[in-house]
Amino acid sequence: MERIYKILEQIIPNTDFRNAKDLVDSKMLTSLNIVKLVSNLNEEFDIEITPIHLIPENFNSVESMYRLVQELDGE
Amino acid sequence: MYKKIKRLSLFIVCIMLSVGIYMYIGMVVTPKNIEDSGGQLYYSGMGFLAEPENTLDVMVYGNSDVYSGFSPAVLFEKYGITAYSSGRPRQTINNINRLLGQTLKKQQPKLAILETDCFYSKSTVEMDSTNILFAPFIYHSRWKEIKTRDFHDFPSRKEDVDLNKGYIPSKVVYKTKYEKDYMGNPKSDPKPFPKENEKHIRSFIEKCKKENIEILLLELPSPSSWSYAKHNAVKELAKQYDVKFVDMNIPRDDFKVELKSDFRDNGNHMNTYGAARSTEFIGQYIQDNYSHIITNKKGDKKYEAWNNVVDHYHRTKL
Amino acid sequence: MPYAILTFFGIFTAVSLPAYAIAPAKYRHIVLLLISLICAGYFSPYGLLFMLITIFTTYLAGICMDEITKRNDTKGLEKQFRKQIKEKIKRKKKLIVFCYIIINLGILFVLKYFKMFFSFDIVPTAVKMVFPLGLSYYTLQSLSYVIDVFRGKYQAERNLLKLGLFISCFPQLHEGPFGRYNLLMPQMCRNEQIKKENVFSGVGQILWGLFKIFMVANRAAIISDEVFSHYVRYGGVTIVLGAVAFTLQLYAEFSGYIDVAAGISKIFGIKLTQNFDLPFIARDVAEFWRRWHISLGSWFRDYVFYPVSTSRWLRNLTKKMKMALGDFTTLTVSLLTVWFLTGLWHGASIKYICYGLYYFILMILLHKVSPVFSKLFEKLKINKESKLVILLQILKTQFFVLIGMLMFRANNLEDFLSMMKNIFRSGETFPFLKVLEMPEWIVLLLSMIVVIVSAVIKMKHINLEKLFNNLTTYQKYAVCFGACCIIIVFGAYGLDYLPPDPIYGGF
Repeated sequence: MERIYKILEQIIPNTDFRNAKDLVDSKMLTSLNIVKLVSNLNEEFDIEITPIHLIPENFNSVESMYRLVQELDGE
Repeated sequence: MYKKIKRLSLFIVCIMLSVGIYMYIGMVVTPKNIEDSGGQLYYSGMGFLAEPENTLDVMVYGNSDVYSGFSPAVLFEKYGITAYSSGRPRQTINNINRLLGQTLKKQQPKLAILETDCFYSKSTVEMDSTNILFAPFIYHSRWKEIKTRDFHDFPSRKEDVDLNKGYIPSKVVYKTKYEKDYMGNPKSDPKPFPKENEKHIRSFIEKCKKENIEILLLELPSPSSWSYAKHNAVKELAKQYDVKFVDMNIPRDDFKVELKSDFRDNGNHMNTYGAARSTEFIGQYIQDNYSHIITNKKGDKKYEAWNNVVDHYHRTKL
Repeated sequence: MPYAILTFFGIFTAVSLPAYAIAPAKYRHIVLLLISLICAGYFSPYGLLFMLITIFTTYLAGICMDEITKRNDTKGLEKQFRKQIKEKIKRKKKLIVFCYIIINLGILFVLKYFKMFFSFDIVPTAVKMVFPLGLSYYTLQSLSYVIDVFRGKYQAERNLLKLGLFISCFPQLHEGPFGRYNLLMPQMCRNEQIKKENVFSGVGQILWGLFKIFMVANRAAIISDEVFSHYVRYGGVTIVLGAVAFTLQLYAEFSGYIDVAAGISKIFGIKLTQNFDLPFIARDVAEFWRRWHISLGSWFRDYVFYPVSTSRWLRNLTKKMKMALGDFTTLTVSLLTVWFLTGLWHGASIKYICYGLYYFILMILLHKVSPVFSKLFEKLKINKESKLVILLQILKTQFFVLIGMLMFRANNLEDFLSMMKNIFRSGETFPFLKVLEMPEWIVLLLSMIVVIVSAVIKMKHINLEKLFNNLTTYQKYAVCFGACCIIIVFGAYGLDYLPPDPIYGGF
């Protein structure tokens, strides 16, 4: 979790992403940001996020991102 | 039960109200005068309805060739004959029968001239410009010139007398691309008329004979649409019913088409110069052949208003 | 024939409504499919063949991929084997997708190039005969389905007729919006009986679309046509006016046709995706494209931008670079791909490609400049959310959009460049009253006010549609009837107005 926070801090500073539940839907995370985020997550956790995982539900909150990372880590 | 009736009546009231409002809009936008935009279209060759009773001796029916190529003002000025030029774009012979019926309600013409170009036009599905239900679509640029009278005057073709008597002048001169032999081979096989039209032509001729109206089949100059094939077909028809047929496309001593100056477009519609020349020829023909039934009305007090028609013609000619 | 598409949409809807209503619920989607195919066949008999090819290949591609996955069940195997088999499956599926894309994009490109090069020389009717209705739209839509099946997002459709309807559904054939299978299919298969509420809200939306087309777009078209065809005469303000008029025309017309399509679909109980979301309040160009032609933008995001930016070769390429540079390269490469293809989708001409690249440059600039501005705002203690700042940002966005529109509308690049030069030159004064008569201006302005008010209402988060749906039947009827009368009387159509071809209908 903390590692995700750190990454998000770099990408979207000054926003309240910790409690947000609609990061994508409210357009805090734009597609450009998502790409950056994905590449950072891939690097950080040594996983491979593919386009199929790039749906709003997976990125709307930090919890869902955490779940995604865990799921992919297991493979 | 009560609820059902209430709902049903509400429904009916609603439908009637919308139809009423729609018809009212149609009435408002319908031209009230031949000078309004779309006025020509609304009158569609029916301007004779406004003429005083029994004042027209000659009726000319046909399509756009008629209102472009026949000028009643010229006819009255030169020969004192009263005529109406009843033309309408893409007119059909079926519709002309209807016009004939309407003519006979108020007029007793001595001679009916039928322009033969329309023998070949079939009735189309295009919107009928005289139907009030289509009025909002057809006259839809009229909202720009709406006046208060449009809200209370009922549209009528019977009130304003048309000073042009159906004729629509055009000063445009177009040098047509046609040669003198545009009619093709004189021995061409006759081109048959559409089946439905044959019936309507017969009923037109029978009706005229019944009402004691002389018939003259006439083809005004029209290089783009006329040919010997059509000429021969009409000639046969004229023989069959024993009526006169004059084709102005065939050069004769007293009339020859000027392909470089008589038309406003590429050989379909005549301009003022062409119309004046062809009307003079027609007038001479009427005088030569029908003087026993058609008299010169010049100087007659009853026909004084026709002098305005002539004046108007000269005013707008230049 | 002008407005052929609207007339025939009307006729086809009117014919299909009773047929749809009478048909047993089980067969309703077949009625819709038949009507759609007839509609497509009517507009281009030979084009229908291409459409059928797309339907069949899409169907086969989906089924094949499903079968491959099923046959190679990985359950109960060891992890190592599982991975191996998965790789094998993936390779096979990739081959299928590859073939599919070659066939269908091949059709799209060949026909589009064919159209571009020949539409002026060969009889236009011949082009129309061969060019399927809505080619650019349904190709992308079926592509998204195949890619999603490949990714395993959902299973393939086993019913050829249902899939056929998904691809050929007639209201969206003209200008889109193209939807996604997982959103559209459940609605199409619901086979819902025609309901009074749906009919009214559908008709309401159709009328709103027609209002935008006939009251605003067709009048604005007269202004923009005058400016763009005689731009040599005019300078400065007039050219800007022309660009504004064109922007307005494009928006009113495009969104109008979309509303008509959505309205027709709604009558049949199908809700299409939203294609416009108040594009003119966007604060930057990126947001503009999230609000303008959404179905196209989101398609390119999901099926071009994401795959390219997360692709393995791009990652290998950037791995050797430094973090920041790597990120930047990723962005540049993927944005370039997206915008190049977006431009190409609009048409196979240099102008449209430049139009795409123009937005590519803007996006990159935006990405580089916006952090700087944020810092500047912070330093100067300017509230980023203050109304003035927002307004300025909106104006700035519209400025860039306007230049884009100018390029989009200009006959070719040279014209665009000389128009840009002409902006800084004075020219003849624009003959306002000669182009449009006074009453026309008044009606145009009034209808624009109506459109603007509707936008403001939407910004206040009041749902007009809901308000309309809450009216009683007779109130709804009165509103529709009134709108109908207004459009019939004041609409710009017929002989006095040159019928402009729907702009996005040609793509």
